[in-house]
Amino acid sequence: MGGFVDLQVAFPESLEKAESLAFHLRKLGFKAVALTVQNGGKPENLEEVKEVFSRHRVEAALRVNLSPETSGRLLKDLRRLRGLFEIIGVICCNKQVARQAAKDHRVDLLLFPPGKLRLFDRAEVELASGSEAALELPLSSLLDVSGRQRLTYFWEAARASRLALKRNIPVVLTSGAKDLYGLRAPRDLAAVGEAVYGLPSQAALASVSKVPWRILERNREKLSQDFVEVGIRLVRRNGDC
Amino acid sequence: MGTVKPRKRYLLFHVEAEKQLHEKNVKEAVFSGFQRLFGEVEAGRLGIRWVGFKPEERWGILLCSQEAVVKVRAALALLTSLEGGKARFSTVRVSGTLKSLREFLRERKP
Repeated sequence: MGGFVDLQVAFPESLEKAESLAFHLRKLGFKAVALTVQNGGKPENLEEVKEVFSRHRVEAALRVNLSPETSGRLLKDLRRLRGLFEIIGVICCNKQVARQAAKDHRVDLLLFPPGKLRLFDRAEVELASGSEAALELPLSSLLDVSGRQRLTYFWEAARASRLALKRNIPVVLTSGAKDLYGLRAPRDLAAVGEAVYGLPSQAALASVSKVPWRILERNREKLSQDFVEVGIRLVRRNGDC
Repeated sequence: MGTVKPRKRYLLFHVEAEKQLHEKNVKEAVFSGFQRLFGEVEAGRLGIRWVGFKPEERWGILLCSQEAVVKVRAALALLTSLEGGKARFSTVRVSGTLKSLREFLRERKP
């Protein structure tokens, strides 16, 4: 599969909102989206919402954002939720959680709220380079702050993405949209990555296409019944042989 | 030796907004957005010119140098409000000629 992916859009509250969200995502050029819930369990109307998105030819995946206060809580949440969600993002609010999230193979995306991006330092990068976690820079984090905080975010995000790319940690750009006005076209997200965070043009485009697809496909494979271990897949079942 | 003329690009953008739009206000929001993001000096260097805006269809066209396209796209993406309501700017197409953008718009009309 190919095309553009937005790995963080809030799960729609109703089917009408899902309809309009799917329409706008398709219009903007996205082929897949990760609908995000915060800390919770699976939404009840998930199948209906996925059906709405597939009518608009947008693949919908389910994502959870965890914001634990301790690393112990993070481990508990990961054990409980990894098998239920296609994407898991961890909002790192303190160093303990950031370090644990960076080295855990079950974490897909590391997020840092504005003011906490300094936690993505060399030690964090070292840990993340050994796991499969990617650095996520949601546009909403940038849009939610203003004045001096925004300037600091510009600087911190540019520093973080430079550090990540140096150690081959993938960078993912998402909209983090809570409604349809928060959505952005994929090439516009890439342009923000290039012009504001200083990503090279190829890396900026990959951060809204190849990189998120890879994460989505990897996790879908892991969640499939045929998956045994990394590199080992069940080809035939008893009786098929 | 003559100097090389900088290449120009026309950007077609679309605005999704809660409120009704007026060209004057959209233009002001766009230019102050550039100025806020890049500062007066850099915004001046981008060589941006306003070509036009159709409030009914919410399409607008900007002209800038080829090197400035990414920056202009980024500045438009960072705009979040218009006329006191929420808004979203998205760049739909970039072209070297106005004619091809107009053709694109004609084809999109039902």
